[in-house]
Amino acid sequence: MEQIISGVVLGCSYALVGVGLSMIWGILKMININHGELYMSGAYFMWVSFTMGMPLVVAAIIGLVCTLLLSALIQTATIRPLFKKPGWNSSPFILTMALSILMQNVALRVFGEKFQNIPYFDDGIYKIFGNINISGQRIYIVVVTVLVVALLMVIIRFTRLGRAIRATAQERDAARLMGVNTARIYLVTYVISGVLAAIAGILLAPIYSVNPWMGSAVQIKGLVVCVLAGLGSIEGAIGAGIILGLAESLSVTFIDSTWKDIVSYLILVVILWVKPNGLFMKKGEA
Amino acid sequence: MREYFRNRKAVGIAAVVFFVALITVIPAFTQEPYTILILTMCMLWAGVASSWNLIAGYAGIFTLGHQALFGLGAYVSSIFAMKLGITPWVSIFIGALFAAVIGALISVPSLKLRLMPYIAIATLGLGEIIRIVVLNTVDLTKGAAGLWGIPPFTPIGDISFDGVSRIPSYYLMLVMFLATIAITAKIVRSPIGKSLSAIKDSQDAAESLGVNVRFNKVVVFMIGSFFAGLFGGFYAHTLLILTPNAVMGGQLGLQIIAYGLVGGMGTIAGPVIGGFVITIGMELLRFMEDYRLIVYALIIILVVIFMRGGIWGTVKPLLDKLWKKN
Amino acid sequence: MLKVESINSFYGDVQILFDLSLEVNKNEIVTLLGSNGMGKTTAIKSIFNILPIRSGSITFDGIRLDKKKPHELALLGITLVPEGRKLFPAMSVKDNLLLGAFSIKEKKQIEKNLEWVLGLFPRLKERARQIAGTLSGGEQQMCAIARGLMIRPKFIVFDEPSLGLAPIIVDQIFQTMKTIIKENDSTVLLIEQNVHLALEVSDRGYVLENGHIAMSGPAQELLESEEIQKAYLGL
Repeated sequence: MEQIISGVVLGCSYALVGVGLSMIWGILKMININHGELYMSGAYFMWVSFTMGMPLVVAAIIGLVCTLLLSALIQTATIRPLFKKPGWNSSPFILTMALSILMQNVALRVFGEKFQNIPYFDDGIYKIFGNINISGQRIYIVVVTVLVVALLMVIIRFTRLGRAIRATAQERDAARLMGVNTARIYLVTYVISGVLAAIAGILLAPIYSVNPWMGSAVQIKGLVVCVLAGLGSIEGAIGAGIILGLAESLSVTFIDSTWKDIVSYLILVVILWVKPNGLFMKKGEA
Repeated sequence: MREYFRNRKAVGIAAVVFFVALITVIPAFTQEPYTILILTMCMLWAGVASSWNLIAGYAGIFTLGHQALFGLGAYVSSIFAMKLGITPWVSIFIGALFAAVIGALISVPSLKLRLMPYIAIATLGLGEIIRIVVLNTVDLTKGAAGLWGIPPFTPIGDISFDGVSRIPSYYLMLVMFLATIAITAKIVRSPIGKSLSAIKDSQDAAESLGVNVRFNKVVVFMIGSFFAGLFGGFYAHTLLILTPNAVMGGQLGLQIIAYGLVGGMGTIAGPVIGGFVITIGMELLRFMEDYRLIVYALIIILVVIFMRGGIWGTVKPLLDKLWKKN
Repeated sequence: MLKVESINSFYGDVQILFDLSLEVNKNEIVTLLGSNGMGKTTAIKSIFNILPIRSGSITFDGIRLDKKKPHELALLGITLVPEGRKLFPAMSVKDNLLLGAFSIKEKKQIEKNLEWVLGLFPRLKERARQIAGTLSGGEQQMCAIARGLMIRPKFIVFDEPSLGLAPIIVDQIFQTMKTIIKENDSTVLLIEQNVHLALEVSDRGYVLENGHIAMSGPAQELLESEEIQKAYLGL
């Protein structure tokens, strides 16, 4: 039972990262390899603010805002120029790859390789479902994830912006004809994704510590989630994230934990073999 | 003489001959082990980049698992040499064959999947699975601690490969490098090469023209993997130390792609240029210490944004224009 | 209203349009004819600046269209009902229509337009919540037209509205088009392969051949001309 809770908590972070990646994939039609580093940015910006004396909540918000600005900068300075010129469509791939290396090493240079600690948001331990212990931090993770994801769904489904985003993903030229500034939509989408990743980074920082490589593992899991969910399916990414988290967590009961990482890769390969379109693809989805 | 220069093909051949002659005689000009080693590695990575380019540039299959084959070649060759006492001259081929077989396995996702992102992720996943397996079979590979004490190449007559002089291994690599490039060029110009171009352009069209797409894909993977594994074997018996992360990790995977993309995909010259430029560049940047990787990343970003088609892809059209003027 | 003056358009190095000029005056219905590959789609893309022109000018009520970004055209009251509909396949009919009105800021105005449009197309009103990708061909075309009308446009371009539809549906659609134009006081540029239908409903026409205008004139004249009858009507 403990494992299930761990799985769900883990799944929440995978879901947040996966949803962001899925959005970028579905709308900008590219794979963002430095997504893990946006996750890392959120955590580091928060850590810096915290060590400068800010209260935890304020530090978290600063972490979010800084990552928001950073995402905007990255999209405007590097990704947008790439799309202006025609060319081989793997270029965004290697661009974000290089950005990933860049960000990791900048973090390494600025902060060093030491694993930094952040205190839990809530030190308490609570009882749920009778007598199972769960730390306050974990409750935070689940609650915040649910709220954020719900908010995102509302925006996508019911607001003008959400319609514009969906239209850009499904038929870009037609969207432009209706007056949608698709260049701006790309920026907004990228920034939203970055913020989602930052939220995940901030939520998990107290548990896993802040270090320059914290994004790498998350990146791969995020990709697995995207594939599991199906190209560009945002709701699918949520479900897929939870499933992946559960799978990884439960697998520890069967296999040695050193082999744990292999679980996600095996799931990935199997899904691509059996159902390449993902588990949650709906008809007509872009 | 002017007439001769008008013939672009002739000039191209002359440039190649010049390059080959240059790298053949360079050891006469500098005996410094460091320089020789760097140049050896340049050729090594250029060769690996070429083998990746065969799959990704010519057949159009963007594989992210190529590093696993390099590392497998390294490990398998080492293990056969250490545990069974087989001479490295033979074991590197065993390693290469092993890599070729595994390469056939890695080709499988590309047989079914069409979209580049899926193929990239699938091959990445498979590559990682291989790495984790190697990492965890500690009895054989010593895992994360690293495999030490790999036997170097056994001497040929008076020539010893024990590392005291770097020159013998330089020439060994020279032979391997030139052979690989020559074979790759031959393949590209052969019927198989034409089939690969067709597949890259449009798989359906190729199929309707009678090209056995699946067979060709598997074959190109096996050939590319063979070479990668072979170079891996060389790496093992020259540097004498292996760790899973160094020879088959994600960083290496990205590096291999970088060679191809910076140099120019889908050409023979491209990966070679990429291999040399990046390897030498990285060494020149060594004085920057901590900033080295940062600068490396920035350069890649700039090249990707401003130089589509890599260095060769940008330079070649300019050269063509120059020729038209004449 | 719309003045296209000597435009030249290229796909890469290949020239498609050669000094193309045409005019559409207020409240006119002008048709652009020509078989496939003659440059009709390129002309549309050029007008909407999805494919930038190399030379010449495109003016709309004095405003230079070729200097504007594609997403700015809706603000001028120009609408395109694209070839192949280009609906947003995973969105509902209603959402598609709401997107049509994306350039309008006042909610009240959008609601009014939505009511008007749904009044014109009762079938769509029934299917407002249905996912656009699951509509029939004719319904999709109606939806595409409705979507284009959501801004109550001054100028509408219809790109091959009859393509892939059964004759009965096509008739319906052309009837609806005529009604809309009267009710809405619009000007229309019609791109069509169905020469007969197009010329019947239009005031004037142009014939596009290999990237330049081969013939032009009042629709009735064109319909009766020998060349048209031979080339396009198989007589």
